[in-house]
Amino acid sequence: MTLLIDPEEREIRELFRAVAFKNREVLEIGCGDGRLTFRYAAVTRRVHAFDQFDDLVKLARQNTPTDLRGKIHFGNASAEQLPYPAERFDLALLAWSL
Amino acid sequence: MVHALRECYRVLKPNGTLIDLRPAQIHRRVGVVQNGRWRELETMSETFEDERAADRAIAHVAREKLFRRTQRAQFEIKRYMDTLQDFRQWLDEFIEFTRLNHRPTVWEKVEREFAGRKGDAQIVVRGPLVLSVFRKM
Repeated sequence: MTLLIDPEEREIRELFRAVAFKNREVLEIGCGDGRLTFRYAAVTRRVHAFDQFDDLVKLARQNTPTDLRGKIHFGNASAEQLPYPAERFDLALLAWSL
Repeated sequence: MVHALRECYRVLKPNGTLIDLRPAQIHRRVGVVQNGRWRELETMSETFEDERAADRAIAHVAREKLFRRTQRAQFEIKRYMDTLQDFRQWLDEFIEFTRLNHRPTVWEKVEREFAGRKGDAQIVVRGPLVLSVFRKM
């Protein structure tokens, strides 16, 4: 199966144009298989990425590039009850999930 | 949705940034590309119920003065599929997630068009995304 989503990378270019990710502590809700996460994570301090679908979270963990393994934490959680204390993140990204 | 936005507010630092990235309320277009030439086959007919509900949730938390919008951008992205099987999978998910109550005629159109082509033809779905940036107040 060959499915390419946004090979022109418009999405990540627009994200980088709109917001500074460098050295930020990022929360991503709706990370899916990590397609978008992998494109921005390298410049951040750390990413905590969640999805409600466990199979997608497993896929994201499996597909994480080696150089990003210490930087991204993938988890399964509800956006309505995040397992974090108050005022933890610099940036929250709702990726196709609101 | 409002609860999720309130959770984002809670876990964001003061002046933190919230990004809402999702499909625009503009119907996606399906077509075939070969040798760089696009042939449109059908415009989909999403109801945009979820998108309107998300807009209402955003308006709600803005009224509560949790967030203030600072930027908005709209741009198109494309997804490329090499086989009819890929397209069938995309279409099934599309119908499920957009809760279409009818079977679009696009499958028959794409099947007919794609079967008659050889070489590097690809099925393409085009649609705009909206990127909104909010500041925690």
